[in-house]
Amino acid sequence: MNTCSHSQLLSAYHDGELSPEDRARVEGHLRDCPACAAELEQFARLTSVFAGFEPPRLASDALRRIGDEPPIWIQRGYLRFVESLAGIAAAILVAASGWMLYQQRDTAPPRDSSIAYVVVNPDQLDTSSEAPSARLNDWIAGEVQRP
Amino acid sequence: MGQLEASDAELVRRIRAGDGTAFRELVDRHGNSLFGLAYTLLGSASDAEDVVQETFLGAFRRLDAFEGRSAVKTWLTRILLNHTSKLRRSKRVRKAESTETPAAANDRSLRTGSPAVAVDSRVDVMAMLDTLSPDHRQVIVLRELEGLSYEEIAEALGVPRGTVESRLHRARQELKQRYAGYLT
Repeated sequence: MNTCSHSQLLSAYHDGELSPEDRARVEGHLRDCPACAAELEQFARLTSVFAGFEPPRLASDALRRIGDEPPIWIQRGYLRFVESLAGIAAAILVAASGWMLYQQRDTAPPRDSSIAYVVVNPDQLDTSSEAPSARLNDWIAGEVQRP
Repeated sequence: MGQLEASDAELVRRIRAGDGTAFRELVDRHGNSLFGLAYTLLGSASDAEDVVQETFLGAFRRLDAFEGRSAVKTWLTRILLNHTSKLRRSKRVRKAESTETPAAANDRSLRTGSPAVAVDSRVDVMAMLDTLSPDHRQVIVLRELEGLSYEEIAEALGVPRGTVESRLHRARQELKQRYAGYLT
């Protein structure tokens, strides 16, 4: 492992990415540092290994398939149209959900167990409790006793 | 006398105007080089093909966002790099979740179907790249195989130039140590 402080610059020097001043400094250093000179040589060999590499190519039918005009549904104009519709549908859904919740809140039976409520909503009569019947009896008794 | 080839910027302008043949021309022009890049990053021809298709579709959808500040090829490369990173992350998650024995990581058919010299070189380079972390693999591929400058690599990856320089240096140190016998 090259522990020379100049080794950090060797990669950029090899790639020709140093400023003129830094390049000159490294070149001067290389004359006196066998470790850096050897490392630079290995970088050059690495590059030549990569230079001999040829990646595979796409099969012609695959290239043709990719280049086929994108399906009509993703044509940009249609995509925008569909996106707008989706946005409108989502807004309508949210508004409708909110309205339905609000409507349920308004029509929700009051918890008041007054007689008037019992009379108006006989199907909501709570037969498990004596309270409504007792109050009805009281009311009837009151009416009967009225002069 | 033949017609002058349209520039990439001109092709993008024509695609925006709805010219489907311009899209095909852009794919024909850059498809193979993008495929090569994706292949060297992912090590799989089928994954690379998927990523290239996603890249061009993504570019088609985001044409309005392309302002022409960078070259079209650089823009496409940046989209491709994003897709390869996403694919690698999803494969890493799937591999971690899977209880089955992992399948072979690379597409062997490409390695065995070519003349001997080319096969050896391809196997060596792909084997080398497989030993690198994703970050190191990216900079080595973009520099050594794509020939991009440090500025171009920095732009494609969205990192500072200094990061490119240090990653490249560390990647080369790694390869040099692992393949010392091969490189002397």
